[in-house]
Amino acid sequence: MQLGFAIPMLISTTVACVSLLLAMAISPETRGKELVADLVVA
Amino acid sequence: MAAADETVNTIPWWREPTKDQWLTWVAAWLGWTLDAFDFTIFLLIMVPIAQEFNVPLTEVTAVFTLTLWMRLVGATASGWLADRIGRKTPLMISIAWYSACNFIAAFSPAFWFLFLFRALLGIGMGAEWPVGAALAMENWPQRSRGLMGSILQASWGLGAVLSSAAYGLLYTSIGWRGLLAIGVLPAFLVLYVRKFVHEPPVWLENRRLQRTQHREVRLPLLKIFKRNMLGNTLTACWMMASAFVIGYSIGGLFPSYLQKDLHLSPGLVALPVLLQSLVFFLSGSLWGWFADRIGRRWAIMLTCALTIPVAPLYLLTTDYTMIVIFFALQGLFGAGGMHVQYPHYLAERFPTEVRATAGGFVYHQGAIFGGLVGPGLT
Repeated sequence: MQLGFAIPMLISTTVACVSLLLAMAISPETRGKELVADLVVA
Repeated sequence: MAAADETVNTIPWWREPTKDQWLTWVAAWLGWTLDAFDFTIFLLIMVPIAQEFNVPLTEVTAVFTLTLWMRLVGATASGWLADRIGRKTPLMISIAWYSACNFIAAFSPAFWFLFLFRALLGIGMGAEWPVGAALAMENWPQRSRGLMGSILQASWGLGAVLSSAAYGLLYTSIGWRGLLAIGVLPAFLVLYVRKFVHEPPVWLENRRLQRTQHREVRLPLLKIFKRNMLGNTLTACWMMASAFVIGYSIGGLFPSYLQKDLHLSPGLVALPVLLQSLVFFLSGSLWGWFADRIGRRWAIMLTCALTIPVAPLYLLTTDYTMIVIFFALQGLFGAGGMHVQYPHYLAERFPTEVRATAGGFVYHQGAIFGGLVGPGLT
């Protein structure tokens, strides 16, 4: 099989997926949040 | 308050937004869709460009990489402008910018010229996203923000469908130069934005408060790295960097893989790319609906986890039917559905006075990492 790009693409995809899952595990949920005009960081 | 909520919930979600809110969302949607067209058309013509200018494919992927990196410059600049002077003007500038650059690149007499104008195009492309996302999400009612943010983002797939269709139908008659030249058409959207789009009330009130209380945020980019925002900013950056690497690992070199390794014709190359983009577009409604029910985090994590088992199904085979089916299916996950949450998720993670800058920086710093995928894998 001529799969020159295929294996690197597969490895890169898998590693990045694991990385994203870790990032999301420590990220906040925002569903239901109202976007308000209040000054927060000013 | 409870009575008011009950009243809102009895009307269909699509009747809750006002006409102005719909017009504003459509402006952001068109800006993003056409941004996608101008960007993704290049993925399909990298091989013929390399042949015409007699340069290695690696050098052409470097153009793609530089375009991605320049998006960070445009996104941060337009985000800063949008937080300071409003969302509307930077949106118009960005659309005019990327349209003009694509058109000029079509007439490249040499490879360096193409390199230059595609890099400049990246600034305009990056500039569009944070402004359009902030504008649309600040205007849209909370109840269906996940759904409409997802459809907005998924329209990248629609732009890619348009570019795939243009490639499949027009490449043999107008060539890669003609495909770049038609990228000037989005410029007409500027007229629509000028006429129909208004600043979000939440941003106008925030600016008024900043002025009247003498608490103006002049450098929003620095604010998101202050102690009380740092953790939020860094985890959002980590998320976007990973997401971009996933996206470009799946799709960045896929057309080149089919052309060079499997020696497929333009029509056969275009089909799976087109179908995946279509699935991506359609998945916006599905995952947006989920995000408004199970939350943004779970919607992202679920689609990310499902990306892993699907990838080998089209990469470890030379059966064209398998490639088409499972590459298209990936449009539901890592090549599409996973990415639809960013407009509303990032808008909800950052406060109004830094929202466009934060969204632009966080989203497009990820493109730096995504841009390394092409050269890294070739």
